Amino acid sequence: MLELARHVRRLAAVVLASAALTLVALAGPARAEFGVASFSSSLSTTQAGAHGDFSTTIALNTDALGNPDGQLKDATVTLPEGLIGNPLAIERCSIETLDRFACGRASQVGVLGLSVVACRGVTAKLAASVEAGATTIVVPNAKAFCYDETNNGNLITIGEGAEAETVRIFNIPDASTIELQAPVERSHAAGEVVTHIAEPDSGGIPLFNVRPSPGYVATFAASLLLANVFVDVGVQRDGRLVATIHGISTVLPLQSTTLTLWGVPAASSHDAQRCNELDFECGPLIDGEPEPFVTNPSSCSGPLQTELNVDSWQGRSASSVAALPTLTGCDALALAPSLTVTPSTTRRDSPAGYEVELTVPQAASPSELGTPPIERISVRLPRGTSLSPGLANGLAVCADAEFEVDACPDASKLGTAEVASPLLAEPLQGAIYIGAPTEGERYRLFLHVGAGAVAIDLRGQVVADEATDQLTAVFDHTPALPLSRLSIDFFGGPGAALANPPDCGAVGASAAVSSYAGQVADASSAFTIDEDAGGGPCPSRSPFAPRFAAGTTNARAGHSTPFVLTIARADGEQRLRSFSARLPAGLVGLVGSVPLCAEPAAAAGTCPQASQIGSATVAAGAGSQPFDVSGPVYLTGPYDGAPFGLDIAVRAVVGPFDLGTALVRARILVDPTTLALTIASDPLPQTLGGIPLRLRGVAVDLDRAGFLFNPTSCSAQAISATIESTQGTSTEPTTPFAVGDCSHLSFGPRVTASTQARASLQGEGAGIVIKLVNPSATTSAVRTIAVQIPKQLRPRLTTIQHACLAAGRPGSTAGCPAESIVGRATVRSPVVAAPLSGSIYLLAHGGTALPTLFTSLRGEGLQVDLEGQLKISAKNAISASFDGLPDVPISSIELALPRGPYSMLGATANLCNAHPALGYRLGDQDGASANGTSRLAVSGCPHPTRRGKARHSRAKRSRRARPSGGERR
Amino acid sequence: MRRASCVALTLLALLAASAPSTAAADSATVHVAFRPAKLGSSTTIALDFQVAAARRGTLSPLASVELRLPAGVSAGSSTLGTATCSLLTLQSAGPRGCSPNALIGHGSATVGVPLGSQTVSERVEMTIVMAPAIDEHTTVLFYASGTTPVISQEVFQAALLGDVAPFGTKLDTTIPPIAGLPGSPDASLIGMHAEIGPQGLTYYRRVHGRRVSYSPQGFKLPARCPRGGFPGAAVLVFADGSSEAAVSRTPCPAGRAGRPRS
Repeated sequence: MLELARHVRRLAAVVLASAALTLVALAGPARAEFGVASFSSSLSTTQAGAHGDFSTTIALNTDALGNPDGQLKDATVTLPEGLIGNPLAIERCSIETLDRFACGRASQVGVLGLSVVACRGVTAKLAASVEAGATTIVVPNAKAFCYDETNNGNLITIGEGAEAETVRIFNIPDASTIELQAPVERSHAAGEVVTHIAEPDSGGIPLFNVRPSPGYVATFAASLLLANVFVDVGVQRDGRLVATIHGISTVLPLQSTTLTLWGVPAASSHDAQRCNELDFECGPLIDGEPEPFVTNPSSCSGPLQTELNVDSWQGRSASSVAALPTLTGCDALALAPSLTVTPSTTRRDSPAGYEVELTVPQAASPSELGTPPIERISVRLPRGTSLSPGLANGLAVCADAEFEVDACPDASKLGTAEVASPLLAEPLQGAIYIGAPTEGERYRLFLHVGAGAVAIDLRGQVVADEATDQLTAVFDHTPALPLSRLSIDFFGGPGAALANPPDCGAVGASAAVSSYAGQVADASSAFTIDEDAGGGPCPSRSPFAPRFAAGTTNARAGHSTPFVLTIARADGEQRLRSFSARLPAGLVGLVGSVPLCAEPAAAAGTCPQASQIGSATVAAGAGSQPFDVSGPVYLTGPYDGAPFGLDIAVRAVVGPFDLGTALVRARILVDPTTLALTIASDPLPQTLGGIPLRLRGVAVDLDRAGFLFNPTSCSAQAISATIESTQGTSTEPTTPFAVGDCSHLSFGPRVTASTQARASLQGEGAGIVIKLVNPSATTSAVRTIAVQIPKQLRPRLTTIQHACLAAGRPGSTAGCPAESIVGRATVRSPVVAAPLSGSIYLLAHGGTALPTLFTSLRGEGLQVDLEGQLKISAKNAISASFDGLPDVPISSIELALPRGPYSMLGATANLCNAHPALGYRLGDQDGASANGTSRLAVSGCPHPTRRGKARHSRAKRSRRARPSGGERR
Repeated sequence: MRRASCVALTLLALLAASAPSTAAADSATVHVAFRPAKLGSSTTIALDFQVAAARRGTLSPLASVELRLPAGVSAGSSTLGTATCSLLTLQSAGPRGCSPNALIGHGSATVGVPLGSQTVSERVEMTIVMAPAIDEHTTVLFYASGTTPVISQEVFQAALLGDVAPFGTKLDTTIPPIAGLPGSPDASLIGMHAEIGPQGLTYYRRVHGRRVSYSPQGFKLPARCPRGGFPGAAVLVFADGSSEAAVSRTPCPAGRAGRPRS
């Protein structure tokens, strides 16, 4: 080492002295291509994690005269992945000290070997013949030759082939004369070639640890006479170390160089190379504890390689790759991480900042194998800690291209990050960002820390367990660098990325850390959620008292109105599972005016816009700033046994994330008696795209113009709801409901009735059709219809005898005999496109009540049950009354009691002559009434011709003579 | 003629029966009258019975009525029922389907029709016709028809049977169940007024090819009136098995062989 250093120093002087000549020589023979002749690397041991020496040698291309092709300017060596050095463990030498060749042995980290061409290879032709025994030769470029006797630069060859001879230059007195140390043995003719083949001279100089150049983690320097050589070590974004020698002096015609970094610089094996530069005294390191400097990679999975890139001053580049043997002994390495997860608040069900700190102690003793770098970090957050939808408020994502140039937008920042490494004097500071989603990775995390040119980028993602929603953050393929601590501090506040578990209690987080050596080590951390969402002690059980509000925005009776329903829960309450809302009677939708969304579009959430009747907004997330997403509400056809349904299709675009369409379906149930609507939702989605929604509220606004209409009754009603929680609790809030201004509604339905002349007491009996027509749908709806059957039409006992005994099963006509069907009812309403109709049954109720007329009107999936009471007054007047008709706009009601074997009625008189009249009394939904009499239109009566009149008169007289009770036609 | 004789015999035999006494006397009433009430003359027998109002509250449908007529009322010269009308004809066409010569009387009745919680009182008009004999017994059909408050028609059958003194004939009427509203009790006959005899009847016969109307001969009252008047009785048997009985005594009319009213 001593000789080597001394030689190199002397060589430098020679190089300096011959610099001018070198420049001339550059005009010599044509040069070959600049390039790498050979590139190799080696480790002194193949034990993974061991602190062995690393060497790499670069040899450049040379031309036929042995001259380097081109002049090396920059050399960049990318060290094998996982090969690390710890400059902080080694004493630093200042540049000033270095300039004085006074760096101490303790700061030496290795040796820089140099092979330089002091005397370039030169060729010339004899200008004059030379006789044997001559001691001078004449060439035109004598100054291009070298005559330093200390090296091989003074050997020249005169002539070619068998006549050639090699002699040593003694002196070059002028530009054309070369004096030889010994006479030539043969004669040579003018024009013969004189050649000097370059022979590089090699030597090694100590490499010292100096203060890192700006932007580098370490800088090693070797001191020459002419200039210092600096080896700057940086860290690539993938964690690989890169050693670069910049701006290699042109006066140093390097032919090859070897960089050797010691595993343990203080090791005695380096004593011979650990030399003082002033006196070239070499020896052991006396002071200080030995510290490991180079640590082998920790992966035993494959061959390692070193990559080289060189640039010449002439603007040419070249590269090469050197393979290293696969390491062994990875199982001997150890990893012992620890984890700390700390929320910024311990309030349950609240957005919270989270500080996640993973610590990996690094082995510091040269006798120990190094701690293997971490390849994969997987941190599973406590169960219940979830992504908070509220984070989407104002959130942007960082594109990959932005991340690669450290230009992520602030709006994508989720928190701060810090990475500590034994390679770094200070931890690297940075931030964690939400990355632009890709197919297969929705929630990506970008972590960037850096200082100057030193930067570490980690890409990870957050994965939610489909079953438990538990979040796991994974950073894979982390740089193979010693990472002693990784801290991520997720922001808190309303827009926090994370939210605390919904329940109080101790929770735990865990980490699984995998090393490049193959070890997997676990760590865990626990904390306790010990505050209620709003502060204060934790409740024994989460409350559930969601706020409920509902109503129409137009309070005028009978008028078109939007309807709004809102359900909201506070943080800390049990979560919403489903709801059903019972709308007031009379609040009806004109279903017939809306094209119903049919299956399978309804099931797929792809209903046409024509079916839209409103919109819905869903608020999700804990904290004071839940995230709102909205979507249309469609009216569908039959769903889950209900005649109609709602499709609430919310396109969940949460900030930059399109989580797809959250489809909530609801049944619209119709009370068969009041036609009051009940909207009953299916279970609401609790998780979407891996984000527990923590639904805070649902607002439904049915605002399609001309769809919903207020009741025409101004009586006080209520809108009630049943809201269920995911924990099985249900609550039934109620909100009052009333409309006003009923007095403006008119009420004047027209009642007509008709029968046929063909009627009898027995046999087919008689028929009647009673029709109520509402002149306008905006009038008050009919609540009561009472008609008094003309005295000429009487119920038939034979039909009464076949009434359906309905006792015990009100509203059901199942099993009723056909003979109990006495007619048919048809109702037309703007609510539905098609009329509702149904058979009219005569129902008996045993001894408890008078018989009733019952009809179950059906159409378009609706079922409306109407039951009319039959009464017989003291004066034997027969009346039928339907009370409590639903408060819906009705165009017409038709009750037909036709003739037939089981007709309800029989005629007791000739209807053509008797002028039967129907008395009626109508009542509206708000108490107004209208009475009247309608003469029956009798069809089929004979025309009153002269002969007919005569017959009619005779018949009349004849009927008078008959006994009462005789059958009439 | 033979049938007329039978009728007369059976009516007379009603008077021979003894009065049943299975129930309180005020649960039902019966009344027999003769129009005209002239001893030894043709007459129309008017029969009335009523189920007492108190009984109606626990109404069980009337299943049969046995009317017992006094002995001595003679049908020997009666020409009532020279034609007959079948049950089927009555049920399908009503009295209009019957020959006028089959009519032997008319009347009215009151039927209680339970309609759920309310029992309506249906007044029905009755037409009494002679039916073909059954088992050699004179058979009479009652056609009841009502329209108020409901339209109803019923036919029930009676047999004229001999009776024991002091009755001569009994009219044994079987009243079939009159169904009302399902689940409610059957309708029940709660009173009846029937007149059997020529009053109001017009018969027809052909004389030299022409249709000639005439008034038939009715029952003939005996020349003497029993002491205390003519006895009458009614036995009402209800569907639940209970029965009511009532007796009457028609005062002797003033006349050639009669005695003053007591």
